Amino acid sequence: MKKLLRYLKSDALSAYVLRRLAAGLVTIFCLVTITFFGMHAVPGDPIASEKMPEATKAAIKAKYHLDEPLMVQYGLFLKNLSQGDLGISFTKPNRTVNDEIRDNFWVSAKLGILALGFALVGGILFGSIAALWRNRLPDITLVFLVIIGISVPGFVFATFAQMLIMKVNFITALNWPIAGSGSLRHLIVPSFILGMGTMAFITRLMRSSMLEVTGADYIRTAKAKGLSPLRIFFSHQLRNAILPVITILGPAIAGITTGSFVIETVFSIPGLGRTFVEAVQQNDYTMILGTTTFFGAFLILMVLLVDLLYGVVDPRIRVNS
Amino acid sequence: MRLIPLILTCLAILASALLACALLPGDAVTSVDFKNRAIVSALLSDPPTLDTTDKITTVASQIQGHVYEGLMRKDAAGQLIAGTAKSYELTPDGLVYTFHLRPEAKWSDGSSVTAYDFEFAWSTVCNPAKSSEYAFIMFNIKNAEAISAGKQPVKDFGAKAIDALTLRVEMERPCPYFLGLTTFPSFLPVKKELYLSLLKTDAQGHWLENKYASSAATAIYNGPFVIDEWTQNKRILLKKNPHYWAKEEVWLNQIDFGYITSDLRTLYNLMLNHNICSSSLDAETVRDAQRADLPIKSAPLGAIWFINICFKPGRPGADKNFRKALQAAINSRQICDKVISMPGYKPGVSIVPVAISGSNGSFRQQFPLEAITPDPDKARQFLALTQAPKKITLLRGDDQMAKAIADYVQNSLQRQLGIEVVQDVQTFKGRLQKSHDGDFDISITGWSPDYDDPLTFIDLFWSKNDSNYGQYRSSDYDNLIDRIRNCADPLARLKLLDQAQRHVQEEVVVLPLYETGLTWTHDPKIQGIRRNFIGADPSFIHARIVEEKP
Repeated sequence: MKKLLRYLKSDALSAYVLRRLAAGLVTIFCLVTITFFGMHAVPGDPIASEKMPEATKAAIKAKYHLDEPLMVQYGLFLKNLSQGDLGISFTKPNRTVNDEIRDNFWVSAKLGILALGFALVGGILFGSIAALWRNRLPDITLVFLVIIGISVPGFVFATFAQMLIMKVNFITALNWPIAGSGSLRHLIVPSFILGMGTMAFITRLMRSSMLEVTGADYIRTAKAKGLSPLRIFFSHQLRNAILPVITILGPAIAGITTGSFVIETVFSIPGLGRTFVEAVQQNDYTMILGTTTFFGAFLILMVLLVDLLYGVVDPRIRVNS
Repeated sequence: MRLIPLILTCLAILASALLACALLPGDAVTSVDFKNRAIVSALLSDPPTLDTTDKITTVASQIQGHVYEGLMRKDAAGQLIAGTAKSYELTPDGLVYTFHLRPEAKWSDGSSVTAYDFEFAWSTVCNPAKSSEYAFIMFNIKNAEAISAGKQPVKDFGAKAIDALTLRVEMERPCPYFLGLTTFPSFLPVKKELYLSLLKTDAQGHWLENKYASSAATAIYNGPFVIDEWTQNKRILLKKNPHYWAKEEVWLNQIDFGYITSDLRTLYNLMLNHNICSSSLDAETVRDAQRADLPIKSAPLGAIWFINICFKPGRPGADKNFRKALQAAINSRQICDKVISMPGYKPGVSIVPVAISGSNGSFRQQFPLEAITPDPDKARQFLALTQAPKKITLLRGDDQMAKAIADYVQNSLQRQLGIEVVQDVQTFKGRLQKSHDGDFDISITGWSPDYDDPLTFIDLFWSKNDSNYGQYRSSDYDNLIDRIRNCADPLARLKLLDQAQRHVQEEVVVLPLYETGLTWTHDPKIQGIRRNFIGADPSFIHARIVEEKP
């Protein structure tokens, strides 16, 4: 524990974090640039509407500086971005992109954290069970479920779950919500379904790494020393087997936070995933750039956090001065 | 092995946690609450803005229609009656309307609704500084078009408040549908002081974003309801407006738009689960609703989908015989009955849908148009007269409906005429861009009415219309439009409109495919939901709940 605290306070670590943050800024700059020019290359006029006269269209284009050369627009965008101003949404002319992100992100985050919780707890538990009872009934059942979890898309589960809740509500007096948001109850089923794919993936990963660890020499040594199975499981098997799971945590967070579009639509949840996809469909330039930048920064932070967590769990991969 | 009990305990804890969550008692479900006169409904999407001077979307106009009232309003039967204006006069030449406002009409902050509020709202819509997408809707009012183009100052606008209760509207040309137009969101009043206090401008005086009506706190209302709560993307809660002058006519105390989703299956499930009181139905859910024995209602939506033909020189559509061949080959009745097969939909015959009014009921009933009988032999005869193209492109949207229809058209042209049809699938914005550039041979396009008059469809093929995507140019047709626009006699005007709809069919300017309809179901306990194709849809203003018989 003392070692860990000393490590967290070390100069080497702060230098590492600073370096990573600087690299993150460069990544965001590249991301923003690619998105900006890619977005403008997509056919379709963001202002286009079936009914608008040309004169009006020209006026609106001027308002959003769309009549200026692309490089000028790019410069303007970077200037505003450096001041934290993401602009006004094209489709919601009275709302800023900052408003939209502030209002919708926490809902997505709550959903995502719950989903990740389900995925981690379920994945680690089921993975361990499958490995400990290798090729026996629990293993076979779990592997079968994992295949279903990975191959069936989320919206199928979502629709199915909704039907199931409805049937339960008909029989009992539970009044379990089938859509909407507001309380934790509303989020439990959607987040479970959102986390299901990741849970299946973690189960598979956990199973194979647990099997590898179980056959290792140090486990045999621990057994020979007469350690209790519990102690062996927690301090030796689990701690070693869990490393690959932490590795995929970063991408998993990415998948869960950006992949929530379908779940948010089916369960009528006001999240950022829905805002993001709708912006792309509508060619809403400011909103696309704003949400992409935000998601980009968020993911870079998450990956950094995961990497730091790695060092906490495994002393072998700590940063040295 | 002591591990087994441990893991079993873990599993048991996980399972019981889930079960405990599942067994928590839920909120009582009250989508239809007789005692509190409250209903719960859903929206298809979050309204981008509720500012009536900005662009008008379907979802926004549903809310706007509940919380604002224009000069005229619709009664429970859908008839146009006096609203905020208690009476009006029209000069015999049809060029000047004088509206007299009710002194008892109040805003939700208790102040009076004045003619200035209307003047400000309307002039803002065509103010170039605002550059509203819907400026065109004002163009029948004197000088509106020139003001919108920046050629004349806003003070020259034709609608002027004479005093607080009198609004004088000078028209550019006679506009027999103007009274109906005053129920359209762009014509609803706006409180000037509040609007300007929330507006941000830049150094050059350009109008930037405006927080007006972007949240519940930044607007006041003069309609039957007020917005009590608006949580973006989640909920809009309407409460009865205590200051509304005709509040005795409104039975409901509360409308809670508590769900926002575009997934019709979810809406239907919410309806079955008694979470919402009504739900739109699509081809899939309508069958389930039939099986569940729910009341199924349908109404025309007033929109039409058609095949747009590109008239640019060099395109096959420039040749009339080719267009005639298409007309004889495409069977709109089959498309409606076999491909779409939804209640409320009708096969396309004229460019003007049946739902659009004439002077006495439906325009199409007043001036019937014979459908062209599909005839493959005739189609081949027409095709023989022209240099038949081997391959044409069909531009379409990326939705299921467009795909089904495009497949049908592709198949029937290939089979009957031997023309290979290449589908060009685009997103909505992409399709609009390509349509606008005339980059297609034929395309599947829809048009919904902006006001209840055939002209909203007929002027689509006017050479000055920016939405004339096929770039149809005909001096005869332009002449006809000019005469329609300047005709003060309503019946003579309708006759000219009839001539125009015949011209569209005779010259095959477009091929009407189908008229859209609405299909929905609702809780049997609720009565008086109105569907309107202009303004609030669905409207709960005159809805009431009937108590269940024991």
